[in-house]
Amino acid sequence: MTSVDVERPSDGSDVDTSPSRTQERLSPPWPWQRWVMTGLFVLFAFVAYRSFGRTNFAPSTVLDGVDGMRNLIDRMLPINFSEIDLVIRLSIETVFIAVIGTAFAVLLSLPLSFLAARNTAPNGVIMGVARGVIVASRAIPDLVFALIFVRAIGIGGVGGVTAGILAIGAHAIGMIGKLYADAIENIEEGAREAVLSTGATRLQTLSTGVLPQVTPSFIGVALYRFDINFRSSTILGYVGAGGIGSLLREYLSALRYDLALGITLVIVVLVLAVEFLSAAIFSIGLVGVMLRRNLIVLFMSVELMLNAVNLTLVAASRMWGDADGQVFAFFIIVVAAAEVVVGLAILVNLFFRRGTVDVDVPSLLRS
Amino acid sequence: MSAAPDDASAPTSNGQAPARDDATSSRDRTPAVRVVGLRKEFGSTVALDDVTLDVRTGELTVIIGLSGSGKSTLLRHLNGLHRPTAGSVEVLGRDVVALKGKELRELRRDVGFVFQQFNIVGRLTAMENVLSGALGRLRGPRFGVRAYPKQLRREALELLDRVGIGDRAFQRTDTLSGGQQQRCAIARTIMQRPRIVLADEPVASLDPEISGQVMEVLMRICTEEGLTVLCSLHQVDLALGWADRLVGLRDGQLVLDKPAAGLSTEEVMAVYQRLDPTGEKAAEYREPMPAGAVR
Repeated sequence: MTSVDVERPSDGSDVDTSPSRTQERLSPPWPWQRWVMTGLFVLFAFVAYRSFGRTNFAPSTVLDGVDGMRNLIDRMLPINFSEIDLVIRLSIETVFIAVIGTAFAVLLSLPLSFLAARNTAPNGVIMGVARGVIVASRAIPDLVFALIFVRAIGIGGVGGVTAGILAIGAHAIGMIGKLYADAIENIEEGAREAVLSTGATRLQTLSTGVLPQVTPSFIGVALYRFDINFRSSTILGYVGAGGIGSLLREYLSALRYDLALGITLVIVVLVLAVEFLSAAIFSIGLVGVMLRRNLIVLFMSVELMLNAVNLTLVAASRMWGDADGQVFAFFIIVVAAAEVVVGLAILVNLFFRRGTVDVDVPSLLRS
Repeated sequence: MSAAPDDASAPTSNGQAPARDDATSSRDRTPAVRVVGLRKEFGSTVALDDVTLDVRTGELTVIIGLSGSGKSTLLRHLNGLHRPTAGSVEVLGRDVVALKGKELRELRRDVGFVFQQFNIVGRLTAMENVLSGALGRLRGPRFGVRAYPKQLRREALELLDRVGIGDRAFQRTDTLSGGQQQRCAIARTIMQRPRIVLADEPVASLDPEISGQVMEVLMRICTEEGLTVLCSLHQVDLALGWADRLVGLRDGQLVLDKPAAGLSTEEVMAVYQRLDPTGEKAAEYREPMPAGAVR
């Protein structure tokens, strides 16, 4: 022990009246906010304690259930894969729901988060509304959304899938929008201000000053949410919202635990290939359209997107054993061909007249 | 290669000489900046108190003063980043306080701003940061360097060469050194084709050697382009070296406003010495040192 002497008055109070200091306190002030926080903590501890009593939760209950668990495991084995075709078909449907639901949520969250972030919101009222939407979407569980949409659109089949997508998307906005808005609020303000100072518009400031700063977190959040959505979309079928969950419910209510375990395993090793392929192709096309300025590359990108949609349509039509999707794919191919003919004609003319195929060059019609 | 703003290019031929003479010769010309009775409060703090200031076109004015004396606040009023509590701010003949939306953006295109913390977007390349200076000339958002017309890209590369970091054009700016980042920020400002450049302690976070170099780049380009410059600085030697005119702020009030020519270091230092004008206190502190000498 070194003899570092902290001089305290003998009455033990926190006030040190040494004459050479302007500040008499030795510890920070204790404002009302701190009292509130302390109060809330005590309240939470009390509620947690009372909850044990009310729910009769006790470790012994878990031990009592060991026999039941052993029984369940016995009935699960051997694993039964007899209805594998049906399982795979519904699994793909589940992936569809998760991917489209996530995309839907991300697309809606993008504008919403810019409106909800304190530093990019146009005004207080819009910010309040945007935040209200986000909070509401987070407060309502996706299972509740699914129940509502299933009622509105229909159980099973296409209606069920649509209901599932909407439910996943509607609930995911709550998390994605919140995390996006947080990311926007955490940007380095100076860079945004600097872009604003160059005379850029609000949209230009967002795209050049803000978006580059938040892109990594935006992508990260979207991938993380897809992970969550994939898992919850397997459950949604339970309330009739399409996907593998509906089959799982059937098996469980028929007490076929061997089949149920089979499904669970298939969910783990899902056939992601088709959906990921078309999503990836579509993304490449989209990025191409946004970034490239060469008309030929733009054309190719648009074609890529159209064909990604075709792939999805054909896959979906095969899945539901319905020819509509394939008919539609042919329709798209024909229209795309016509579009390419007209587009290339314009392009060739442009090249002869201007000697370039850069899309920024033809600006005759601009003011 | 569009035409340079017409009335900004006029004084270039005159050089900076007229500004150093007395004001009579250029009194009839509209000042580039006219601030009258400007007052700004942040809550209960008074940041600016009845500041009145005219800056002539093509003049190079340096603002000095302690941290917190209101230098940044004054500059930020000139491009509408702050709104005054009272008083009027007129820049290039336009009433900044009344401007909003499109008109404000047009003013901001004419008024470049160089920040102490550089404020470039670290995740973008130097090239794209410079290009962002041209956003005011374009319509709609831009994603990536490729989204800017070739003409602008050539212009940006030339500017990067002019500030001396042409070889870093496609490097992400968060990998550049402080001096290089500020050079990039200067290039972005010039890319705007401004008529006035506001520089808020542009070299305060750089070492003395680099400070001199960056200041040289900024002033050389502004002089070449015939721009009106308002620059806040802490380095009195730099201030006296570059300025046509010195303005001092203390506690939000204007305490010095004189042509730089013939101004002595003592007169300038008076702006800073608020607490201890004679240096008595400093001597007092120095004295007991040998007694308990540690070094």
